[in-house]
Amino acid sequence: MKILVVDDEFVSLQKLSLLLSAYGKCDAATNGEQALEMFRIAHQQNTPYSLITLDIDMPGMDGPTVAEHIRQYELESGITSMEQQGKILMVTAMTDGKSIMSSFKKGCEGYLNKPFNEETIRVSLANIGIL
Amino acid sequence: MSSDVHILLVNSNPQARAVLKNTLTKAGYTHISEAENGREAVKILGQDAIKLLITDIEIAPLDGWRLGRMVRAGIFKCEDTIPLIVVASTWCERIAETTAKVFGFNKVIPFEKHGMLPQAVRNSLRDPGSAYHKPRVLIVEDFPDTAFLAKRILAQRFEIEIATDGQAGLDSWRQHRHELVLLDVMLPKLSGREVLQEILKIHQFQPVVIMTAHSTIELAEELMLEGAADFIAKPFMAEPLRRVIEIALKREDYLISNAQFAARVQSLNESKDAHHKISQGHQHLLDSLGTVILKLDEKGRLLFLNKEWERLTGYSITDSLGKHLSDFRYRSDHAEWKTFQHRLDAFRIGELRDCSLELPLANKKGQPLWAKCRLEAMYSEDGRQSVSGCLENVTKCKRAEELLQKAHDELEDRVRERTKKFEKTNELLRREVNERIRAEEELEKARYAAEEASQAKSQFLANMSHEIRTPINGILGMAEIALDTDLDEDQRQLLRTIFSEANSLLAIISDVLDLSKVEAGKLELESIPFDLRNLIEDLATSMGFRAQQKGLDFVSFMAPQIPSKLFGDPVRLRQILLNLCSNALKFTSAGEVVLMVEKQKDQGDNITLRFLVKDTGIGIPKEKQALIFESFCQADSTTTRKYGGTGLGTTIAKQLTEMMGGQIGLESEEGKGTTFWFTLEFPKQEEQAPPLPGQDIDLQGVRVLLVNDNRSNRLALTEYLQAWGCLTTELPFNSKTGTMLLECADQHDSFDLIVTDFQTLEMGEFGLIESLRSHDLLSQVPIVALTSIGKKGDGEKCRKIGIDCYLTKPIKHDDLRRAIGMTLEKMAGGDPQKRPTLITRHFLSDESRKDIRILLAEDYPTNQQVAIKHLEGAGYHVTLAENGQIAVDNFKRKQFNLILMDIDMPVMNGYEATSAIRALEQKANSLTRSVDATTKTRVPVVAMTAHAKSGDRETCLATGMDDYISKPLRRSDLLALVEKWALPRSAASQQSDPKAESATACGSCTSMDYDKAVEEFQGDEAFLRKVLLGFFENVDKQAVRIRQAIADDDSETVRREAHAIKGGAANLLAIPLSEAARQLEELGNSAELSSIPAVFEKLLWELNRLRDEMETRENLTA
Repeated sequence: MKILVVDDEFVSLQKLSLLLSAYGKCDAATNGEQALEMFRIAHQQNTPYSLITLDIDMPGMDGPTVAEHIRQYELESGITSMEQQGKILMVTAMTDGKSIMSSFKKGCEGYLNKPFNEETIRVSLANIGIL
Repeated sequence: MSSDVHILLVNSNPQARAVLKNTLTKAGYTHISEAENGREAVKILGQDAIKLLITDIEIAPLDGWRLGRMVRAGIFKCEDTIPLIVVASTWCERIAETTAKVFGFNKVIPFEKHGMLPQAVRNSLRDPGSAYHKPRVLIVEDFPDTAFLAKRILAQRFEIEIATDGQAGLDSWRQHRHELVLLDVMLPKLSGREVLQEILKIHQFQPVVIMTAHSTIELAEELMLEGAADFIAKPFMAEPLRRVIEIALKREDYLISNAQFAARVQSLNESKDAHHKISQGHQHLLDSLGTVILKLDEKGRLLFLNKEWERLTGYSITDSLGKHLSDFRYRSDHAEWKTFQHRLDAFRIGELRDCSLELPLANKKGQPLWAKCRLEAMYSEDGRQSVSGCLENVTKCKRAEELLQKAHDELEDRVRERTKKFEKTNELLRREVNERIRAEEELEKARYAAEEASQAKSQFLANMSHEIRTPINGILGMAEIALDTDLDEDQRQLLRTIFSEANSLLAIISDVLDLSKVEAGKLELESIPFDLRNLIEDLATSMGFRAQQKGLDFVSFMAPQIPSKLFGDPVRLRQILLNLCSNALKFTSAGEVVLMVEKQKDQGDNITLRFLVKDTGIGIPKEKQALIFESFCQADSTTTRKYGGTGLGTTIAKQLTEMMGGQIGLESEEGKGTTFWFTLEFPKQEEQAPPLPGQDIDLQGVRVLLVNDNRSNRLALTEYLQAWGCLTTELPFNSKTGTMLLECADQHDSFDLIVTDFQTLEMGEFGLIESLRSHDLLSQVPIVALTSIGKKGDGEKCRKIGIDCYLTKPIKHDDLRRAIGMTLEKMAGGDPQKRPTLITRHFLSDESRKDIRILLAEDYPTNQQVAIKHLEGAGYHVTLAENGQIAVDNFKRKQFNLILMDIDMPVMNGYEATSAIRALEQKANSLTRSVDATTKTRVPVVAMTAHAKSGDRETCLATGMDDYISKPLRRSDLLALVEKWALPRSAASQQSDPKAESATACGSCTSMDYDKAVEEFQGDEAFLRKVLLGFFENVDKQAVRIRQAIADDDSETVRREAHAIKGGAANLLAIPLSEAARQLEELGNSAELSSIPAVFEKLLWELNRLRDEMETRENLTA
């Protein structure tokens, strides 16, 4: 499984990459634009990401917007099967209910609260059907 | 029309004339003139234009031949081509032939067959010229002029053929039998005499007319005496020649007639004689014949019968004579009797002379009797007709025939039937074939549809998974957020309920989807190498945590002698175990859940294991046990309400077990508990794990004192200890334990090791251990303390009271083995006064790895990071090489214990690099050949491949590698692999563990829960420190930006930066800093800028505190 971890915050990015590396090969991006670019390239190379974790609050393009773009890109590429679509996990800080709600509307499947640990990650992955 | 035909009937017998006239009249020929003799006939022919002449031969003073010839000569009023018919009273075959041919008659009929006359009349009238026959004359003459002259004279009446020498003439006659031969006397080759003699030898009545010159008249007369018919002298005139010819032709008839008559008279006399003899003397001869001889009159009445008749029918001859033959018929309705009647009629009118038919007769008893009957018409002198014949009994034949016919019919029926059947079968077959074809088409369609459906189903499953999970995740998220806000207790309760219910719903959906996947055959099993003990103990760790929350014990035990390295599908095995264990935990409120693995059968290459999950729960009633593995079934529907869940866990477990070829079952007693078991067969891996440090220490005969708090889970511990050869003494813990312990110690001289097993360290009463330590005999005995529930600061306590080894449960087999081994070893070698390092699980993993140097060849940054983190975290020394070339260069410079080699790398790939390294080694080894072989070096190279395929291992081994590991790298796999290849070469270090000390020393740290952070970073302290340093670096920059933003009234930047710090700090478990950041974020959000500086100061203060503490820690460990 290929995983793309997107977070502008250093500690979260490192820790999430570390903990998710138990489930697959992790790539890291520190902002939304970079994440989107990596996602596109991976798609074009036919090695798409199965899981994308997006920090909900990032400077520039935030998590929900990245999710929206990813879904849009998938739609334009003719990927309509849920099986083929990447699963998006929104990494939240539990402060803004509205932005979480909008995340779900924009195509993410689940969420992961900060701070996270091995167990909460496992639960989140199970909740979106990856485990 | 036929009545217009004027027929002249010439016959000297008035009766015969009347018969013939009657016959003709019946046939419709009414215009008939009669002549009694030739003279009258000539008279009529001279007066009337007769159209047809019917004459007898003997019509004195003329004869029939001459009359016919006169007609043909055209001397009468009639045309010379009219049909001529002879009805001959006297008959012989010879007459018939010659008459027809020679005299140009159309038909010759014997009087007896006068019934045929009308037919003959009709035929000859229809085609009058057809039978008109010119007599053929062969002229044998060597002088052409004479031959030509004769031909000219005769051509009108005769057909002429000419032969120019005697031999040719004779040959031609032999071939054609000309009616007359005109023969010259003087001929080449054969003389006239010779020809004549030859001809007459063959046919004594052949008319031959001799042509001769006047000078040889005498010769002619001689020849006439020899048998020539007449002669004519040359040169001849036309009329005399014709006359001579006709006379010669007629002459033959006379000769014949005379000869015939003589013969007839003689035969008649003989016949009369014979008849007399028969009637008088030989009646019995006739009677003795096995054939019925009979004579009928023209109407079919019996005139004569022989004795055989009586024998055949049973009727007497006297009774039978005078009766009609058909009076003896068997049944009247037989068509044969009609035929018989017709035949008789045909006889009467002369249409038929004889016939043969089969007649059904009946004998006197009325039984059927088949007679083959041959009948022949007979005419008496007076023209009366009778029928003679014979009957032969053919009943048997007939019966046989009938049977045959019947058989034949039957056969035909059967054939017909069979044919019908065949047709039917054919039809059926055709239909079946059609049906097959259609079925196949349908099958194809169905298959296509099924494939589509299957695709649709999996698509649907995927969609369902998404469509259902996503909103529930949304609910969970919302509920969790709401729970984080200020709520009153009722609201909190409501939200908790929403949260937990949504969670259950999600679990149910996961179960259903899992089952659907299994049932849809979407699940593919793998057979990959895995470590069963690791799997069991990992599971036990997570289950142990859940059990602990419920106040239960979770015990796992896998007998030490069971090989752990197997092939199979660890994910599915884990799923089965997880389902059964979760179930057990769910239905158990007190007691324990035990997971056990037993060996059932060792087949050499394979091993069959029996897995048991025992609980002390509510149990399952007997009658419900069978239903447990059915879909959507729980023992009691009320339990569903009470315990929740789908009941699919066991169903999935069963399906998975069966997919893997195993069996599953359960034993249960209501109220006491349930044991689920399943068996599976696994192939063993060739190599089992090499012993880890401490594991190879001999524990045989070690005396171990086990002190426990009387719970039942000591089973595993005892089993393990005994399996290793330890002598165990168990002691339950209570108020008297201290005394008993001392007594035990006295009795057993001493113990080598004390193992305490309590739920918590407090429960173990440190006092007890302290008292042990104060005892003379036991003060030096190493103590291993096991606890179910570990607490912060336990390590420090252990050290203080002199515990040597501290492990939390569930006990891992290898860990315990090594911990005991190492503890004993340290005791043996160390200074008894100075207690060495406390051995902990952490220590076990880090202890022996410091001197191990690993070369990591990997180009991909993330993989580099992960591998380095895992390896360094475990205490190894790692050197990184970005590609194969760099790896080879590194290898030249330094010695390594292990090389981890990525396969796909730029510049030089893993295979090439390995080959290069092996080549270098060989070179080095060849230089030191003389030296002891053990000094030869060969560094283990382990491939890291992206996709483990079955052939990878072979490829890797073939290129000089020693092993392979598949990516993504998992910490446990990687470390196990490294230990396998790198560890045995390095002796266990005896150094102390400063990290463990520092960790416990800082347990009370408030700015950050360091221990927990280490744990969350998977025990990787080095990585944590790197992250911490990065964090500080970032936060410093962020602090600058926040300060600037505050100055700029840029609340958004404040919020964002604070948000980032909050997340980072929280993930480092630096809660106070995270909290400060959260407050700042909120302020930034609400744009309450006035309080921002103060909160920011607080944040900075927390940051500094954290930094200070970390620096102190850094110093401690340095």
